Amino acid sequence: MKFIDINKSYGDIKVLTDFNLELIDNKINCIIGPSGCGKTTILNIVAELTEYQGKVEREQKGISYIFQNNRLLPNLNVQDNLEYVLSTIEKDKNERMKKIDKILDIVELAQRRKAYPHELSGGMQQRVSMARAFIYPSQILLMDEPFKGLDIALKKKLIAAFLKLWQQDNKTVIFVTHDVDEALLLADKIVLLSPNAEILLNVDIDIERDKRSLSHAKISALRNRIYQNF
Amino acid sequence: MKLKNYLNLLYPLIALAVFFAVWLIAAEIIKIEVILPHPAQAFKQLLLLVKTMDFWTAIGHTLLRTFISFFISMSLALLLAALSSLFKPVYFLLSPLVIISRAVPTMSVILLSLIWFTSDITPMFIAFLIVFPMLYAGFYSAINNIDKDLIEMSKLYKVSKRIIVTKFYIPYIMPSFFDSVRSAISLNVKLIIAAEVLSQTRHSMGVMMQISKQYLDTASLIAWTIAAIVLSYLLEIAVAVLKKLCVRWK
Repeated sequence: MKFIDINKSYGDIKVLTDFNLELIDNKINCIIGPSGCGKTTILNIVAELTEYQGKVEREQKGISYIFQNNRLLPNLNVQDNLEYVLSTIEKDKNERMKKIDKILDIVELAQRRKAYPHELSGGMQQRVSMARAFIYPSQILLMDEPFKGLDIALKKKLIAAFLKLWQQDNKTVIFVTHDVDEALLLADKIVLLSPNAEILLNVDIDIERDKRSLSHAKISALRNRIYQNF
Repeated sequence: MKLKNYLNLLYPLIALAVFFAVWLIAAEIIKIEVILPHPAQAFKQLLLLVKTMDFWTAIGHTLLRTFISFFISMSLALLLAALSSLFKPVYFLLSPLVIISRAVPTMSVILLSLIWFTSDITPMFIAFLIVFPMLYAGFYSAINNIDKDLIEMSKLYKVSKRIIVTKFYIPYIMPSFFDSVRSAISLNVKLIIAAEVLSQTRHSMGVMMQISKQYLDTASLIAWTIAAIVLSYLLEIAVAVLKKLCVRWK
């Protein structure tokens, strides 16, 4: 996926100026940077949720999005929220139910399928949002700080669920976060943006994910490089 | 039963007790039945009225007029609110009409409609003129307050318009819809009765109140008033029950 000469303003405020970037397909690409540097705008440009100048070249079709604020329909229970995004493309109700059963097992929410979003904790709501993104047949997955504000145990659980789901179809992931450690443990590529969306670092990580830890020499060195530039 | 439930029951009972106590004391001080009869006398009169056919005929006809005018107001308000949300020119076209119908003095509308319509139609027309803009404004704001983030999410996942409308829009605006209906329905009853008094509509609660007033039968007048209050209250409860049945997610 390529971003070519992207320009984006909100009124008089320029967020992206001649922004160019190439991401790796079918891998986890992580964009980190301070608040307001244009990370979410990049996701919205890919999702075509905002107007912009320039070009995004991509061969892959279908986009899923794990929003920061989960965006579940409050009037539908967990199962119906998942069925909502499936019903237009999957006409067979039995097929839909099979897919829903499978994904709810993976995110460990099978017991809460009839619960409404307000009856779920923040972490559970985020897991439903994740399940919705993976149940939808897309080749690109956008994630806007999906683990923000969660306690460590919950974050670990959610990251494990995410990796389990991602390994099934290897979507191209663009993952936006503030959290450097999260990025180091998950990403195949890390892009660090400055407050005015200049690319300060663009690094590919070729260490297997299950061998990574913050004490790993290469990871630790990269961590230091990121913090020096942050 | 939890303490909160007891209190929910207790507070209205206390308010009612205070109201009747004040009424009783005032009646004892005034001691003129034509001006303010005793509460017991008013309720006794109500019991007598309930046993007559005229009472139920009047209630039935007033209720029918309420339902007809409310159904027309509600259907039209819903249709035009949806059209106004979809097509801005419709909204701009309707705005001055809604402002005029809100601002126009009720009395002049009543007098005009007495000239234009029969006494059967007048109460419904007046209730429509006042309730319709209220419902229209409520429905319009409910439709326009639909969470834009959720609309964006639906578009991203390419959900069909039919599913967006049936699974999201309609259930989403349902609570606001019922809230608007609940506050408008009892006003509708009051307006119908007021217009029945002025237009001397046959078989109506309004005209029965007018007759009580002409005969200086204050106890009957209060009995009819109690009946009107109970009627409004029952209608509000019916709407609340419908809301509970239709909106299970709140």
